[in-house]
Amino acid sequence: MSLIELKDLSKNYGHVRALDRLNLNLDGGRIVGLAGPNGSGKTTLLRILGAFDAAYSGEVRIDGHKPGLETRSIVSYLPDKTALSDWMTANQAIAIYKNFFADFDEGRAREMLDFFKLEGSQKLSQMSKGMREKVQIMLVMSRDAKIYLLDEPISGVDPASRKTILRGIISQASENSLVLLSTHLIQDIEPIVDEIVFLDYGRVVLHEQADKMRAERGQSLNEAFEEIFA
Amino acid sequence: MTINFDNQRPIYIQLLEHFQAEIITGSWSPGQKITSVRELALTYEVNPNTVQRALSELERLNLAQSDRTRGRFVTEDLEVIKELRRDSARQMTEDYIRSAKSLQLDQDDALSLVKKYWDEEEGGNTL
Amino acid sequence: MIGKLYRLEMKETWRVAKVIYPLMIFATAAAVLLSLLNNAALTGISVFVSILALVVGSIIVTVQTVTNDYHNFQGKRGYLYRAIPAKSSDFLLSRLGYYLTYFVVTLVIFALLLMTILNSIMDIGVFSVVGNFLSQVLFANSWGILFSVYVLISIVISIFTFIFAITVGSEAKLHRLGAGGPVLVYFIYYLVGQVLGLLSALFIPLGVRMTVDPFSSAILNFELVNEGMFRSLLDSMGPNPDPNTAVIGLGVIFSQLLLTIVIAILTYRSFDKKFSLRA
Repeated sequence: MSLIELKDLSKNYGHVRALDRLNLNLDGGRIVGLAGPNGSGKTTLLRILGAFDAAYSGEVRIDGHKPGLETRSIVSYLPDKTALSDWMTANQAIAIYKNFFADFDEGRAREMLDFFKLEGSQKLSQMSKGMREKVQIMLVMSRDAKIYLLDEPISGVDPASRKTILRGIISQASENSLVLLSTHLIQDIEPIVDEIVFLDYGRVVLHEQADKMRAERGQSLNEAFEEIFA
Repeated sequence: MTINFDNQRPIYIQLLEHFQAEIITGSWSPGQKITSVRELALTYEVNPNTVQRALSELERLNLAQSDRTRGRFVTEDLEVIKELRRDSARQMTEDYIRSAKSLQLDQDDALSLVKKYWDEEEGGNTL
Repeated sequence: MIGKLYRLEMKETWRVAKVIYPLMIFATAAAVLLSLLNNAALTGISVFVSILALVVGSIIVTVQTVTNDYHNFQGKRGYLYRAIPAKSSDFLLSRLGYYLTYFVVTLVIFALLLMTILNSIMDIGVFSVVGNFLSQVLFANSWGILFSVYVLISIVISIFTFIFAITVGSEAKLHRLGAGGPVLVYFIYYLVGQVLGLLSALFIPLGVRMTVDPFSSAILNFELVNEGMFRSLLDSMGPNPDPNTAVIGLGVIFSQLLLTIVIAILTYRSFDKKFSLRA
């Protein structure tokens, strides 16, 4: 049994079909890149996996369960927007996470705070976009989760911060956990993913091991992406 | 230290080549304990599984051994390392000869060029 | 878990309330102090301004209470709230407690401050008048106590309708309407409630017959009867109306109960199975 199993997953927004009978299985112990043009269904898929959208058809199994109460304790989710209020400090956010998530490791959070060179007492409203993104990554990756769903963790931040964030992800993901991260910046995630899933019009058009693809196609993931979506 | 990976080639192979170079040049000395997978992954900013695969490949080539409890070590068998160095040197030489031939150089020209520039090349040459 | 969730949700609105409540108290104190100067014009203005401040302040806190709850569970903050591994019943009960706290506290503060202001400009003691009403009229007989309990339950139910409207009004099929979704659901609920309430008051055979003294219009007698309002209403419009008795239908209680059970089930199901975060 795979950690994530999706069968004929469909989702409509009015008349727009966001996911179209999507099938996908993902195993633990991997860092998987989720790529596709805007509107290909990346965020929709992650939201369903994160139990933020129950209005879908088809079958979704996360560690054997439907998204909901059971899966929320093993899934750590990074939204593509800031879920924290502006008036909060990083310290306050850490306290909230510690209070509500049994798998939250405060020591790890403090380590990452240092690693990202963030000040715990600083308010989010006084932080740059990249810093706020780092706070969220810090919170999400400090949970000892089975599955990390990261929606665009590096978009909208400067290249130096991208590297730091990716290093943060590599250092925290445990050996058995699954990291599924969506992005439209494939070059940046290229060396850190071991699997890639390309979405288009709500379907999986390619799901392959990154190095196997490089060996067989002699192409970088980015080049393959451009070829497929040209 | 980071490597500029060529994204068109499998990254585990490029990592393997890099590790081999570390062994040949002695940056990784015989019998030395190899850093953990996670730390190597962080150093080179690559996926831990990719590092794992490159290290397994290193073991398969008898360039490293892993001990269940103590971790992974560079081989102490100097013969294997010598062999690796020979292979590597031969490959580079062949590359040079191929390039020289494509420039229509004959053997004497090529050798004299090597002699002429040998001493001008300063510092250590990394592979 | 309910307590933890309750405390988390209280924080957001408290940031506003902790400013507004003192401002309301300040406005009241200012009005009372200015009235001591015995300047009629000044007192008039200050009383007007301070009552306005009480009304506006209460509205701000109330609106914040509702919109913050909406943002917590349907907006961006939903990515935190709805990620918490808590049972749906825990979420819903903690929200009920949250609403109840702010609504009741705001109402009590509003009422006390309003009475304080009125007390300072009126000759009669407002507090003793209100106190007398409560002790000698409302809580004096079982009808009054029953009525008070009914009002309290109605407040809880009306709070629940907010949660219902926010939850059901945010389902995926209503996403296009934006904040209009919850408003629409609330409006439909209101209409259905009114129509159902009227029908059941008219036709469900349970009511209270009131007999009124024709001269002083004081209520002489309450009597439970096995009829709705329909006949009494017909009589009053007929050729020989009896102005001294009237029946008030109690069927509305049943329709309200039924409707509450229905929206509770709808809310619970929607919260789990049809949930779709809007942000």
